[in-house]
Amino acid sequence: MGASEKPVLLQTEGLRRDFPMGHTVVHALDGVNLTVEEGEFLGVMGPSGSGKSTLLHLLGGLDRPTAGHIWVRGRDLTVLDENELAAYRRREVGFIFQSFYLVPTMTALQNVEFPMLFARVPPARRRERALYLLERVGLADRRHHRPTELSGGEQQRVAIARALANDPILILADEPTGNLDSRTGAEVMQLLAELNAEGRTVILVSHDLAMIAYTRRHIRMLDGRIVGED
Amino acid sequence: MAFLDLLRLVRANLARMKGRVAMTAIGVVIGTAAIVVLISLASGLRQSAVRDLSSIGPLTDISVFSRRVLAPFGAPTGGQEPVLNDRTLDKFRRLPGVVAVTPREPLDVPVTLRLNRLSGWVQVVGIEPKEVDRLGFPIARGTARLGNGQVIVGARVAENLAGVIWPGLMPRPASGQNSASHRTQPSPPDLLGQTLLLEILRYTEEGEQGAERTVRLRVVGVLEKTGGSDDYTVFMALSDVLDLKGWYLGRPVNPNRDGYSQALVKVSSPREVQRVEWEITRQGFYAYSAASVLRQINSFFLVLQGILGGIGAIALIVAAFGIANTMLMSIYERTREIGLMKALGATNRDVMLVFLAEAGSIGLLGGIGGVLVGVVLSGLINVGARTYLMAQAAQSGAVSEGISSLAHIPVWLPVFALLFASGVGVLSGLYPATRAAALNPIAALRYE
Repeated sequence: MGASEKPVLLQTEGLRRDFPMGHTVVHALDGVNLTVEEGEFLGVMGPSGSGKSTLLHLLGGLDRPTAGHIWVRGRDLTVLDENELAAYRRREVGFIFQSFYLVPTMTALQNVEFPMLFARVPPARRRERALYLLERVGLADRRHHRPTELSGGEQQRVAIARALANDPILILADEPTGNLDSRTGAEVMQLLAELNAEGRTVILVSHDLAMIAYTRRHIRMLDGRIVGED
Repeated sequence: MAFLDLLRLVRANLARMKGRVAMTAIGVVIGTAAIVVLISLASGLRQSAVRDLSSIGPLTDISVFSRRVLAPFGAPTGGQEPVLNDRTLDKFRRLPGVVAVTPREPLDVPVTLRLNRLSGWVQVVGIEPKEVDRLGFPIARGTARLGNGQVIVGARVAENLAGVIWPGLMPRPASGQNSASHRTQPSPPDLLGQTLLLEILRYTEEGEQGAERTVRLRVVGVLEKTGGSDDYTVFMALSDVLDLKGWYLGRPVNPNRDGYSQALVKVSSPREVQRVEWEITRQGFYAYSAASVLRQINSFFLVLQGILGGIGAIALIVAAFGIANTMLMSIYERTREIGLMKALGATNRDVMLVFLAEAGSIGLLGGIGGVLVGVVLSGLINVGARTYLMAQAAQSGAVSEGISSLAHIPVWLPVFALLFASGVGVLSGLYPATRAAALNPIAALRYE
């Protein structure tokens, strides 16, 4: 970890996550210690089953560790109750998934507005922000289209706009280019790099070296452990 | 989540499974319609029962009988029954809430009433003249002041004399126009101010006709029509009745020893009836009032409504399982969406609310449909019943006056039915919604 004067955004200590698999136990994470500073663009690499997605879920408050701690801005996620964890996901985290997970019956605009429903943003402000974000990802003219009427790259850009809806400090992207061809994948990565340049912390999970090249720092994982860092 | 956003989301979610929502809601429609129709029938029956009750008398009247008088009809007697005499009536008079008390002593001897060439059967009842104005007699014309040799007559005594009672039972003239049919019957005389003759026949012990006595009675008042037996009654001063009775029996009547057969107690408001009636019963008399009959009828029909409504509710319970099933299926189909909602920061409560509201909405939609169908069905039942009764009446030649409705929908019923259907919807959504809320977000997102 390079020396830096930037404040620490999140830190994990002895992070473990076990999954029971029949009669055995799979150690998806086996003692992960990681520090991420504010404004970083961190890549997490590793073969499938190395635990990188599990790490991302734990950092995003979607799952709880078997042991260890996660501090985000000094607050320990592992002691939060369900509602506090939901509030953490709502306010501080924006997820981007490989399969986009847009709601098929909603338009692009409605999909971007969706997280703001749970944050109780008033309708007028919600619409305004969703329009702004769609413009930001270059899809303002596609706002009334449903996901099936959009290309894969466009869908992922809508998903990115949605991730930004509640203005999170942390963007967690799980193989965001996995379902895209290399050209649209590069566009999505370019967008993530721009978000990072605006000051947001981005953590990207991928096994694609070309995508990892966009990050400023990356760690390699194997069998639930961090095995290297560049 | 804000309430309006929740509603919008629920509407969109229901719209994307229209067919299934419609199918599920039809079950609720059937259940709700059954509840509305069955309860409206019970309510209609209650109404007609209560309407017929008006003939018993005003709601502030209590009829009091000595148990001694009722003994032949099976009323239990202990041998030492209190007597319904002036002293006991005075006691009733002092009860709080009591406005007037009078004996109602029938002249239970064979009498004939005559006016010129007209004559007819009549019921003669003696009442206390001093109490008449406080008894609240519905005087149509004349006065409520009764003296010796004077009478107040019921509304249909004149018809009785003229023989036009039960016009419906008389055969209709062949060319049946209403005006024509009226002309064939003598119109009843106006009795007010007339002098009626009351004839009493006394038989000897051998059954032969003995003495006959005729009394002249001046009509000072005519009552309004009540629909009860008072319409055919001639009210006379109590002392006159006791005098005639004494003549007929051949010995003076002593009501203070033998008691009156019946008395009328009037209270200031229907609310007083139950307490006064209870007090009178406690003193060993038998009391009877329209108000307490009404109370019994109401409680009976409340039970009937409950039973019929319960039968309808069974259909709604079946529909509830339909809703639960639909919601469970929709949760399986939308598992990934639930995972997404959680990833985007929805609380378990948010997720639960969405599915509870969807289930409740299916109940509400079905409830609205059910109320509409129920109202229409009740209307059809009424139309059918009315047509049938009119046909029956036409066949028997009777004039059908004011056939009442069979089904009646009280104002509270649609409101109750809607709330009940929505409540059933929410309840049946409870289990599916709890399951949805408890889903693990990662497992839900990965669900295929």
